[in-house]
Amino acid sequence: MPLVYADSSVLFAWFHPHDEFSAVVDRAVQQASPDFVYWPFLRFELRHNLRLSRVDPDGEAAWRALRAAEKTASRLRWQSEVTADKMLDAAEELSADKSNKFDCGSADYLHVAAARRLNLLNGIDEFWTCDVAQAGLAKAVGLKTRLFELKRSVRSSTKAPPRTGQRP
Amino acid sequence: MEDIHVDGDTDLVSIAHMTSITSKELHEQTGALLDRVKQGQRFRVLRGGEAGALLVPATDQVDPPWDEIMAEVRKARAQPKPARPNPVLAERRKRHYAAGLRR
Repeated sequence: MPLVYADSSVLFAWFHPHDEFSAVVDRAVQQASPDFVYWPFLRFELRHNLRLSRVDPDGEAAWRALRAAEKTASRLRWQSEVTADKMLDAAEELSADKSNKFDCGSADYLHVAAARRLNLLNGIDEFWTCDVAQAGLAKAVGLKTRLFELKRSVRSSTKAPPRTGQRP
Repeated sequence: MEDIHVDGDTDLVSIAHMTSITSKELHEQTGALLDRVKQGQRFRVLRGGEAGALLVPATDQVDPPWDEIMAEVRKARAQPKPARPNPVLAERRKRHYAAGLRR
């Protein structure tokens, strides 16, 4: 099974049946059958947004699926070496290096820093995101990046992300 | 018995073709049960009437595949409903005003 670092935007779309990216992410998962990286910040961001969506049966179904996946050892693969304090330091370093070039938010730097760290430690197969700016940053640090885009005909793209988010 | 159950908030999905046995049966028939497990059978061991352990082949995939975990979500996804904006991206866009200040 490939190991993928999926940003929370992707994991939310994977679990929630009617997210705007749900169909493209579902298709990609069916093709690749990946296991996903899981660590404290990713868990917090994903759980928080899924908790907020528990207002109808779709949100409840998403929550139950997440909790079932969390009980497995491999579908959401817990990364004990990736701790929040270490990743905050790594994100700070990445921001110092790249923020003059990439207009990404702080959470984007945290995710990309964690993915880069894991890639150095164990190797991850891909970095998946629905966020254009974050995809640019991930590519810039050498991660094999898949950006999910919404187009008129819904589909996913593995092409290099557009330069949106990168400062001229 | 095929039992696919996902609980509300905390507990695991137990999935399987499983036969329930008591801990007493396990104790008395360990060798025979292990032979049957080796042939592919799976058992749920009951202790005090509650499932306490699973006895599965060493070659078994312990974790359920995504298809099983996501069955309910996929069923919901098949129903035509309007797509909702991704809240993770929406939250980040709202918070991300600093880049605009620098342009």
